Amino acid sequence: MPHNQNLTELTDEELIKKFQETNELEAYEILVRRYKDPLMNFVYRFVGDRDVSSDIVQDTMIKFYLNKDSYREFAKFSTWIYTIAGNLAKNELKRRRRRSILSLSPTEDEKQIQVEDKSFVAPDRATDSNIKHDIIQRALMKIKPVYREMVILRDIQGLSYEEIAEITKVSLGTVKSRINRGRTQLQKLLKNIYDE
Amino acid sequence: MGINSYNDDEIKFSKLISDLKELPKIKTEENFEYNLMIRIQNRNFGNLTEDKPQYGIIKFVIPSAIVSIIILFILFLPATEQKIDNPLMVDPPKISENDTINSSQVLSSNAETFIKPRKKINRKDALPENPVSEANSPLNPKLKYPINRNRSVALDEYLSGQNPGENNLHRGNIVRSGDEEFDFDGFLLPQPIDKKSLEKYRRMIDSIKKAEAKRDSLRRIR
Repeated sequence: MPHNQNLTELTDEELIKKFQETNELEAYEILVRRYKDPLMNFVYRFVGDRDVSSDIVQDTMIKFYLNKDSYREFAKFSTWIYTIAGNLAKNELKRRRRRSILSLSPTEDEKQIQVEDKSFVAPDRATDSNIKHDIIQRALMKIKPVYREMVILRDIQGLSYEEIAEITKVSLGTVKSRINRGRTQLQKLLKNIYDE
Repeated sequence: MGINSYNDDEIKFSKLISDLKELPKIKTEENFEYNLMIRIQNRNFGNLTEDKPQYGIIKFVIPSAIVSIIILFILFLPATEQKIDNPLMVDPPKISENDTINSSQVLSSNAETFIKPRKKINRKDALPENPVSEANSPLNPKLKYPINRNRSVALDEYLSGQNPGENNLHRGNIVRSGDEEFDFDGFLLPQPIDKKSLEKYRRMIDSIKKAEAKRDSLRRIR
């Protein structure tokens, strides 16, 4: 037990180093426990589907398990694992886009968004917090994925600009401008809520 | 003091940002870890272990080099091989006035027949620019009287259809071209043998021979 206690006190970077060196599954499990929920929240806000998000987070953890040696000490573990999850989430979006191009009828998600478009401008309905959250999520899904990713990482996950730049592999200036554009688009979509 | 330089933007969108922060945190299902560990134990990794295709420069260079070599081979090699001079496409040589020879000069020359053995010859040196015109040229009297029937065409027989000696091989030999010497001597008009005149010429030759023998014996006596 004291051994396990010691492991929980270790930082992310120390844990992954231990996992790399000794292949100790407990270190891996602690990291999974620490990151499963933040990653789930990030992926869900990005793809908008709970089941798909759960699969993506599972795949992220499997990738982490299989490619643990590709992690380098100089990087933060959090940015490394967010990069994996973000790439898998983007792949899912690409797959969906391909599917929607090939299929003649719109997908369920597209139908829902189209129907909800009308309700999403009704300010009286926006009073209820659950509906408001739903509206914000739908608005998030309507902005470009490059902006969406940045806004989620910054305003929902609370990461720093530097961390976002590292995760998305773009410059700090690009991160700042994309977040700004994303917020502007979101505000435009949600103007009936904020015009009250 | 520690104020984020991006605060101006964040103030502008403060309401939106606070709403985004208030969004409920989505959590994984309770058996998430259990399912994950089962997958790891069963090594059920799906397509996550598949390597991405490598698009290294070598993978592009080798096939493209092979393809370009094949294309060059197809385009240029046959073109060089097909450079064969077609004698019928060459302009005939101009015959100047100095080159003409009177008929008496031709007739006085030795008209003995010859059958040249076929030999491999160097194209540049031996192949005439226009074999047909050269064969009929008065400058080449030896070719004037063809005897070899395999290298000539008897016109009477040809026109009457009675050319028993001619077969496909013969025709091929006549029209053949290539690296070997052109074997066509010309056209001929064969004359039927007159037995009386033949006997007459034989008697004449015999009498000449007898006279020569007498002359030799008289010389020896003297």
